[in-house]
Amino acid sequence: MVVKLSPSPPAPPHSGAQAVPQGEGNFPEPNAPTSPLPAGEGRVDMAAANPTWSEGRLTLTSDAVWAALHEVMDPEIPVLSLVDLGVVREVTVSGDVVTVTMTPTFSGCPALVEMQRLIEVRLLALGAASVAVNTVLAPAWSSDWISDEGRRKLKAFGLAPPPVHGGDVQIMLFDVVRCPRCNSDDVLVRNTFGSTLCRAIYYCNRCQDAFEQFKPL
Amino acid sequence: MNDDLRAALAARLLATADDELMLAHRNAEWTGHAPILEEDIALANIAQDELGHASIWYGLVEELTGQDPDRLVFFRDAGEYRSAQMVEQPRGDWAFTMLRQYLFDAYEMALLARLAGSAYQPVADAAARMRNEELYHYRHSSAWLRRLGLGTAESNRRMQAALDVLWPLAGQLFSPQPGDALLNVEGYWPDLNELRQAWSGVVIPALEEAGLGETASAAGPDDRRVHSAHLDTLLADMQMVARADEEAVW
Amino acid sequence: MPPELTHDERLTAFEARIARGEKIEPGDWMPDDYRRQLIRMISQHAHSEIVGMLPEGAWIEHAPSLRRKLILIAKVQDEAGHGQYLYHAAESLGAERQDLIDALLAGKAKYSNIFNYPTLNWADVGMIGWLVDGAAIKNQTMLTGASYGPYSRAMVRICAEETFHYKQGKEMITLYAQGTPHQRRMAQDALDRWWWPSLMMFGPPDADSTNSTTLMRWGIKLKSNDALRQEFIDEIVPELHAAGLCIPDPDLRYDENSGHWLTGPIDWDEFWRVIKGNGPMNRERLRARRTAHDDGLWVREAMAAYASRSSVIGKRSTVSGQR
Repeated sequence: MVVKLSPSPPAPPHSGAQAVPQGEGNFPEPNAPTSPLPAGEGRVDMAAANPTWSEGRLTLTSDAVWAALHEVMDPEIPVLSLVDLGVVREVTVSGDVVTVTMTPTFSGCPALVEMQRLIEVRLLALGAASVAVNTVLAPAWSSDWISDEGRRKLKAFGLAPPPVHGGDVQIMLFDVVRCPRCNSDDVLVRNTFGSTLCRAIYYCNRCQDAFEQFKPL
Repeated sequence: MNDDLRAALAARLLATADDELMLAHRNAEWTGHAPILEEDIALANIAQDELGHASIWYGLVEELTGQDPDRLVFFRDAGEYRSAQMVEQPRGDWAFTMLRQYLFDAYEMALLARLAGSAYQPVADAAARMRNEELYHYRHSSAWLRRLGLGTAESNRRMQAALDVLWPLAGQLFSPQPGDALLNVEGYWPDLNELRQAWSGVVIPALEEAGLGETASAAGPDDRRVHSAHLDTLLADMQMVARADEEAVW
Repeated sequence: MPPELTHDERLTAFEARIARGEKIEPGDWMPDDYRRQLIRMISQHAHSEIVGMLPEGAWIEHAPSLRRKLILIAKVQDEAGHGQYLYHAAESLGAERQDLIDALLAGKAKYSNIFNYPTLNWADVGMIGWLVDGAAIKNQTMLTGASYGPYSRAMVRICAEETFHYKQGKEMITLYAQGTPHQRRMAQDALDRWWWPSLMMFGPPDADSTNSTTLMRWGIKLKSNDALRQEFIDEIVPELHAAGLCIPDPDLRYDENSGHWLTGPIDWDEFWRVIKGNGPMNRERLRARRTAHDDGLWVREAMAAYASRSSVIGKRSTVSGQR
C-alpha cells in the first residue's frame, strides 16, 4: 500500500464557512506527541521531521525510521509503541522510499489498518517520499515479542503483561497472573475474553478491583 | 503450480473461508443478546477471530485467482458459496450455538494442526498464525460442552436436541471436492477421511463424557454446493448494504 | 487500635484527601452519599455500555465490507467489555451486579438517553462513533480525574478505546460524505438525526442538573454539563464542516467575541420525554435486554448446577484422598 499525501478537504457547505476556525479538535489523541491528526495528514510539519540532508538531497537512515516508529503508539494502548509491541518486523530504506514490514497480533485485530496508517503518516512526516507497509503472517506474532520496555509500560497503564511462554501452551494458558497495581497473585480470572481480542479480565482480591491482562498468544 | 492444482487449492480455501465467515456471522448475532455479559464478550471475540481467519483464507484465494475478498463475500449468490450447512444454520438456542462451536472448533484444531505442515507455504503460515487463537476457542467451547451437557436436565436435553440436528450436518465438513486428490499428493491439504477420523476420535468421547448419547446417523448433505434455505436469508441480510450501491467504496 | 474518629472528623479527612488529589480506594472510609452517588453513576455508565450494544449491534449482520464488519464487531464487543469492567467497579463499592441488572430490567435504572434513538441506516454506525463516542470521550476524559480510584483507572483505558472508535467513525463518515450520492445522502441523513441527541448527552442545562454540586465537591465530576457540551460543540462543528456535512441547525453561528460556536435552542422537552421512557426505542431496548435475560435463565441455572456439582466432586476426591 503506497500512500500519497491526501487532498485538502472540500470546502464547508455553509455560506459562513469562512468563519470556520481551522485545525483539529482537542479529543484525546493517543499519538498526540508525535503523529499528525487524521485530517491533518496533508500537512507535513517539517519542523518535526528528522531528516539528514546531504548534497541538497534528503537522506533517510534506517535508524531514523526505527526511532520514528518507536513514537507510533498502539491505537488502543496509547503508551505502547508498535515497536515495543513487536509488530514491526523489518524496515528497508532505499533513498527516500521506505518499506515497513509488519505482522498483526491477532488475525482479527481491528486496529491493523489504523496501525498501517499511523506508520505511513509518521514516516511521511519524517520526510519519506513514499511509504509501503506490507503485512506478513509468518513468523506468527507472539506476545513473547513484546519488549521489556513494552511490558513495563503495559503494567504502568494498568494491563498485566503476558507471561513469556516460549510456545509452551501450559504456561500460555495457566501461568500465574499478577495484579499490575500491587503485584499480588491472589487474583481470579473473570473472563478469558476481554474488551479487545488481546485482553482477559481478572479480579485482584487484595485491591478489591478488576484489572485486565494482555493475553498471551 | 498448474491450473488444475491451482483450481483445486482455490476451491478448498474458498470452502474454508466460507465456513469461517458464516460461523462468524452467526456468532456475532449473539452480540448484545447472550445469556451472560461475559458471553457477549467471549462470543464477539470468537466471531472476530473467525472473521479474521476468513479474511486470511479469502486473501489466499485472491493470490491464486485474483478475486477480491469483498466481491467474493458480498456479490456471490447462495449457489456460488461453498460453506457447510452446519455453519449456515440460525444461531438457535445457546446449546445449539455452543455445541456447533465445539464441533467446529475441534474440526478446526485438527485441520490447522495439519495445515501448519502444508507444503504450500502461505497455507502453512496462515495455519501457524491461527492455531494459538483457536486454542482459546476450543478451550472455551469444550468447557461449555461439559457445563451444559452435565448441568441440568434441561440443559442436557437441549444439548442432545442440538446434537441430533448437528451430527448429520457435520459430515459435510469432510465431504470431498474435485481436485482433493491432487492437493493431497502435493501435500497442500490433508486427507479429509483421515481428518474425519481424527476429529471423531476427539469429539465422540468428549460428547459421551458430557452425558450426550446416541444420535440418529441419518445421512446429511454431502456436496458443499447444496445449501439450506437459511443461506438465502443470511445472504440477503449480509449483502443488502453493499449491494445497494455497487459503485461505492465502503 | 486507632482512636475512634467522629463522623465529622472522618469527613474532614476524606475531603482533605480529595482536595490533595488523592484517590479513594475500595477499602477506604467514604461518606455513604459518596458511595451511593458513585454506584448510581458507575452503574448508569455500565448500563449505557450494555444497552449501547443494541443500536449498533443490529447492523453487524449488514456491514458492507469484511473490514467494516470486523471493526463493528470489535467495537460492540469493546462496549460489552467496558460494561463488565464498570460493573466490577460498582461491585468494589459493595453493589451486587445482579441487583444493578435487575433494576435495569425493571425499568428503574437510567442509562444514556442516546440509545433510545433508532439506527435507521448503515451510516448511523459511523455517526455514532463520531458524535456519540466523541461526546462520551469528553465526559470520560473528565472522569479519568475522578476521585474514586477504580473508576478513574477504568476510564483511562476506556477512553483510549473510545478514542479509537471515534476515529473509526470519523474516518467512515468522512469517506461517505465524499463518496457516491447514495453514501452522501446516508451520511447527511445520519447527521440530521444524531446531531441534537448527541448534544443532549451531556445532560440537562446546569440550572436543572440536580446532582452536580455534590458530585463536583467530591471530585466525582470535575466540569459542568454546559461546559462540557460547549467544548464538544467547539470541536465537532469544524470537523463536520471539514467533512462537507451540513449541521441541521439554522441558528448555528461562530461567535468571534467568545470564540465559541453557538447553537440554536436544544429541545429539552424531548430530552425529558425520552428520559421518562417515551423515546422512540425505550421499550424496544428494555424488551431486548429482558428477552436475553429470560432466554438465558436455563443457561445460568445449568452453570450454577455444574459449578456446584464440580465443587462437590472436588470435595469428594479430597476426602477419598485423605483415607
